[in-house]
Amino acid sequence: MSGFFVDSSHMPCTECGASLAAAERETHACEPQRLLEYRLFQLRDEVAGLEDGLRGYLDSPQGRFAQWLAERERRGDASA
Amino acid sequence: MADAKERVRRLFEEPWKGNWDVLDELVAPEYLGYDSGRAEPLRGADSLRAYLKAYSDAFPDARLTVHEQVAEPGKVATRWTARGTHAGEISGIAATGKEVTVSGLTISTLAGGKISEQWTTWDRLGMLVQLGAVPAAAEA
Repeated sequence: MSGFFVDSSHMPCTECGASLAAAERETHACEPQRLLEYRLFQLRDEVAGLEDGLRGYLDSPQGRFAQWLAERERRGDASA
Repeated sequence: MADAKERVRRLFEEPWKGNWDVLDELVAPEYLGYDSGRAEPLRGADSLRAYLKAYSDAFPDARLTVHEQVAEPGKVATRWTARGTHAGEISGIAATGKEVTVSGLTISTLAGGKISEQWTTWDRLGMLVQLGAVPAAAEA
């Protein structure tokens, strides 16, 4: 593959992933919503991992106690 | 020939808007779809549907735009561009979230009002570059 490089008429913006023609690359400004969605997409495995970790914690004795305590505080029930 | 152009345009654009029935309406039973990136032609509407679905699944927001068409009796040449966000696996490449734009040329043959054959060449290498599967010149 050494020396094998190609160009393309369009390339995705490195920040937001939007497809840009060569003439647009200098003037492009990322749309905030697209930028957010693209960054979240790049982090989707970590987000999924976070959710798995949270589920595991909530199923643990400490997690169950934390849920019980939070529910108790939410009800304003200090005597339980 | 305007009708032939319109039929071809509909076959190109409508599946990407969710109208998959257009394949049954416009593709001839004996359809052969030749593509420069495929060893074997697509055969029939179901084969074309499966091929397009693979890309539709990988680029759910994809839209195909016909830019110009040239026709002679029984044949239509079409220059098109497709644009979509890579949200699912394609050609072994996991979703990147990147938006890609590719262009292509297709010569369609019509018989009895249906499209019986197509020869397509499109910028598959450009798609791979845009997805980061092949290094771009700017990265050299």
